[in-house]
Amino acid sequence: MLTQTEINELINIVGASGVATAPCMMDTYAFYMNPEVLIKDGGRWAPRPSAVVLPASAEEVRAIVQYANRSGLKVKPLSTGFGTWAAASRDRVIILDLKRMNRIIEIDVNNRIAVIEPYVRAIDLQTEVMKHGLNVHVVSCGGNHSVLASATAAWGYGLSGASMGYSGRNLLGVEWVLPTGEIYHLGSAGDCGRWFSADGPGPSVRGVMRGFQGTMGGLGVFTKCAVKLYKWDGPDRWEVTGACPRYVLTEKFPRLAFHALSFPSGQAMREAGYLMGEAELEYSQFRTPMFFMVLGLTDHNEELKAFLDSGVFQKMTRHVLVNAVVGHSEGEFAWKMKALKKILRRTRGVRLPLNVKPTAVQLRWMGRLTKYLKDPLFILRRLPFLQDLANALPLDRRQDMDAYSRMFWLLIRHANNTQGTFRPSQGMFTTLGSFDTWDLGVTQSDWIAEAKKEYINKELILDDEGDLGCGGLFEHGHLGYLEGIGLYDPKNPASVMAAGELVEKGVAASISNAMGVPIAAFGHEMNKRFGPECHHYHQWLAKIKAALDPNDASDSFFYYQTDDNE
Amino acid sequence: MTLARLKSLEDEMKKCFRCSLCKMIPLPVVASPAYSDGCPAARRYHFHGYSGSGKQIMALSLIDGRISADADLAEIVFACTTCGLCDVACKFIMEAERHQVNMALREYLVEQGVAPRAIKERADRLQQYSHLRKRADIRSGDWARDLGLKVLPVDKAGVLLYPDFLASGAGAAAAAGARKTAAILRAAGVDFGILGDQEPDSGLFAYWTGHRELFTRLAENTLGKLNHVGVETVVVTSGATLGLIRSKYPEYAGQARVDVLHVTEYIERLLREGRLTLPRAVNHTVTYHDPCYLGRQSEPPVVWQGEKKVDRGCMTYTSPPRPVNTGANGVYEAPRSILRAIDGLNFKEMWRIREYAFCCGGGGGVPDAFPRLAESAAAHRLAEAADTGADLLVTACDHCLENFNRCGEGSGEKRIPVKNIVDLVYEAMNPDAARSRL
Repeated sequence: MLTQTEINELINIVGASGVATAPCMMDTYAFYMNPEVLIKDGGRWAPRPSAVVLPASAEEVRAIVQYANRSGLKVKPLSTGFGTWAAASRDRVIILDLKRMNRIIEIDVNNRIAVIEPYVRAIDLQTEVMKHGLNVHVVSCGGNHSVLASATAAWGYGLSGASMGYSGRNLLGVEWVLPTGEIYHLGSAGDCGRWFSADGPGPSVRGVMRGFQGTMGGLGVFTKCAVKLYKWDGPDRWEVTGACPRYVLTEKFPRLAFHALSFPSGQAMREAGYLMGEAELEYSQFRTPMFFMVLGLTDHNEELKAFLDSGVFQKMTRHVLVNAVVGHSEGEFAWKMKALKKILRRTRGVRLPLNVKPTAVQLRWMGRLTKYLKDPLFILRRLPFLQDLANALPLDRRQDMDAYSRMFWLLIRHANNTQGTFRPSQGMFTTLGSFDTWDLGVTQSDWIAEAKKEYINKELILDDEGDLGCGGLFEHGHLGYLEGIGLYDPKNPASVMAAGELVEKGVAASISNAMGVPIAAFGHEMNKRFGPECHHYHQWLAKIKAALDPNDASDSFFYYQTDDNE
Repeated sequence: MTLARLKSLEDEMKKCFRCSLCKMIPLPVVASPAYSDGCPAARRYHFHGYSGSGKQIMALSLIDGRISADADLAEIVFACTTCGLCDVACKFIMEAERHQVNMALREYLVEQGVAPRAIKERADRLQQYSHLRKRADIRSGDWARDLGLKVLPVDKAGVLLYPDFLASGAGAAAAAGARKTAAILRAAGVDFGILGDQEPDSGLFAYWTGHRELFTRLAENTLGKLNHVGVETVVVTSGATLGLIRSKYPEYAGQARVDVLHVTEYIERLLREGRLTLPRAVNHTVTYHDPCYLGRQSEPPVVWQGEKKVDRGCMTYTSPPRPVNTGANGVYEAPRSILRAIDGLNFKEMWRIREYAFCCGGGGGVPDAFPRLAESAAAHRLAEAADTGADLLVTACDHCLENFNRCGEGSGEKRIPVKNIVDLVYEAMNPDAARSRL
C-alpha cells in the first residue's frame, strides 16, 4: 500500500488520470500467462503491485524513478505485459505501464532504421515500414508484442530470424532511464544523436544493458530505441476477404512462396536446416511439430482430434520445417527455389501440397491405407518431380488460398503465432530453449518429448504425441533453438502444477545434460544455479546491479536480486 | 442470482492469458497503425483494467474473493460501450465469451447497487415510467403525429414500422430518420403502420447497463406487442434495436415470432424486388460506419445441442462443434448494397469495418456516465472516416448518429458530416414521390 503522500507525488508527475491504486485495477497487473513460472503452488495470482502509473515521456519516467530512489519504492516497467515476468515481485512496487509512449518517432528509409517508443506494437511498425519496402523482426509471441521490449529487455527470437537475426541483435541505440533516474543514450545516439549503432563509439555497453536474456525490467526503463530494418520485396498492401477467425488473402504474390517441408528423419531435418541456412534462401522459418502442424490446419478441436486420430500426420509431419522464400528479383527467386529443391533432393525432403485439405473421412481412409507404411511419402521423396505436380495441381483454389493465407499470417505478419497455440487447452508452458546451435535445439526437442510422457500418461498435460520443440534457425543457420513446449489446463491446479514441475525438470536437465541456459532461466534462483556453470555470470550481474542501481529501485525479480545470505 | 451467473462463466475468465489482442482489431486486418486499436475504453484510459481482458481478470478476482463489488470496480466496468469488439478479437484465437462475462459483471454490480450515479438515475426513470423520454410531454408517437399513418392494432397492415423512438432518445435525428423511413415505405407502396403512443421502449438502456430484471420486463412487453400486433414483418430503424431484438431478446425474453428486419435490410429487399427506385444522383464520396449492434452484436444466439468432451488429457472440444458467434454474420451487406445502388455515390471503406469496426462511443450508457469517453471514441472514428477522403460519413443507427453529432464538435480531430443512410435513400428517390407521400 502507498500512503496518500506517495500517491500525490506520483500524481504530481503524471497527473491524476495516470495513477491507479484500486485493488481491482491492481489485480489486472497480477494475472499473466505462464503463472507456473512464478507461482509454485498452482495458483494464478502474482503479487499485487501498489500502484500502476502511466508515464507519457522519458522525463516523467525519470521523475518517477528518482522518486522511487528517494522513497524506498521499486519500479517495474511493462509494455504489452504478456508474460509473468512483467509482474511485480511484492508490495510497494510501482508498475510503469508504458502504453502512452506509443509513437513511431522516425523511419529512416535510406539507412533502414526505425526509432520507436516502448508501446509501438510489432504489427503497427511492420505495417508502416512495409509501405517503404522494409520489414522488421518480430518475435514468436506475435505481432501484438512490443518491439522495444524484445529488443532491449527480453529474449527476442522470432520466425523471421532466419534472415533477420534476433531482436537484441537488431538493436541500434537506446534511450535508457537508469535505475538511479539518469537518462543515458547508448551507442551513437549518445554521441551524435544519430541512431545507427548500439555499440560505439567507445566500448560497447550493450551487454551490460541487455546481457543474454534481457533484464526483464530489472535494470531501469528503456524509453526509446532504434531497430534495424530489412529489405522487403513482398507486397505493401493486400486485400483480405473472409471474416473472423478465418481471414483469407484474395491473391498470391509474386516472388513469395511458402512451404511445409517434411523430412524422413530428425537427422535429415537437421541437415536441411543447415544447408538452407548456407544457401541463405529462407526469409522466415519455423520448426513446426506435428501437433502444431495439425492445429494450424484445423478450425476447431473436434476436427483436430479427427485429424490426429487418423494417424496420417504422425507419419508425414513428424519432422517438418515451414518456411517463406522471398525473391528480391525474378532471378533470385528462381535461384532460391532451385536451391531449395536441390537441398530437398539431397535430404529426401518433401514439399507437402497445401492446396488441398482432406476431410476427416478422407483422412480416416488414408490412415487405413497407410497403416502399414512407415513413410507414406516415400514415392514423393524418390520422385521429386511428383512434388511439383502435386503442388501445381489446382485441386481446390479456396483451400489453396486459405493455406497460403495461413502461412502469410504466420511467417510474415506473425498474426497468430503463440496465440494460436492456446486453442486446445488454453494453457501453454515452455522450458529449455537455449539460444545456441541448431543441433542443440533438436536435442532439446527430443528431451522434452521424453520428459512429458510421464505427465501425459497421468493426463495432467495434453497428449500432443510429440516433442513440441518449437523454434528454428537464425541468421542463416549460425544460431538455432527449440523451446520445449507443452499444453496444460489452466483451470486445473494439478495441471498447472505439472507444468511447473516440467519447467523445473527442464532447468535441471539443462545443467545435467549440458543443454545450455534455458529460456526460463531468469531471476535469482536461476542465476545461482546457472551462474556457476557459465563463467559465474551471476557475479557480473551482481556487480552491474550494484553499480547501476545502488538503491535497488528497479524491481529485478526476473533479473538479479541481492541475496541476504551472500 | 447474478453472482451465480457470473460464477458459471469462470472457465471463460480463466481462458484469458493477457495477450492484449482484445485491445486491437484482429491482426490480419490491421492496415494502418493509426487505426489498429479496437477498444475505445482501453484506447482512452490505457490501464489494462479497461480492456476486455481486464474485465475478465477483475471478474475472476471478484469471484475469488480478492476484491469487492465497490464503486472503484464499477467505475472501470461501466466505462465500456459494450461494443463487443473484445469478443471478436479474442475469438480470432480462441473460443471465449468475453462479452458475456462483461455483461454478467455489469449485472452483478447493478444488483449490488454500485452502478455509477448517472446510470442509476436513468435506470430509475426507466423503472418508474418504462421509457426514457426526456420530458413528460414527449410521447412515443410524436414523430409521426402529422403523417396520417396507420396506427396498429386498430388499423391493419402487413408491416410494423418500429423506430423505438423513446429508447433512441426521442431526439430530432431519430424523429427525422423515422419520418424519412415512413416516406420511403410509402413511396414503395408498402402497407405499413406504427404503434403510435403505444409504442414500447425496447429496453436497450437496461440491457446496456446491466439491469437484468428491468430489461427482461421491457423486452417481454415489447416482444409481446410485436408478436401480437398482427403483422408478419417488423422494420426497425435503429441498428441498436435490431441487435437487441435479434441477438439479446432470445436469452432474456424469447424469440420474436415475426420477421424483424433493419430498415437497410428492408430497403435492400424493396430495391431488389423493384418496388423502390433511386433515380436521382447523390454526389458524395461516402464512407460507412458499421454500428456495433447492427453488425457484430446482431448475430442470433447460438442454438447448439451436443456434448462437451475432453480428449488427450486436457483438450476440450464440443461435439458436434458448437457454432461460435464471431460477429461475422451481422448486417453488413445490406447497407453497402444500398450505397452502391445510389447513383453518384463514391463509396470508400474505412480501415476498421464489419465485425471489427471501431465503436462510435454511443453505447453501454457511456454518454450518460462517461461523456469524455463517448467523445473520444466519436472523434477518433470521425478522424478515420475523414482520412478515407470521404466528404460524408453514413451510418444506420440512431445512437451512432446522436453520439457523432453530440461529440464531434470541438474534438480537435478531423471533422466530417454524418448522415443516416435513409437520408441518402430519401435524397435519391424521385422527389415528387418523396414529397407527395411524406
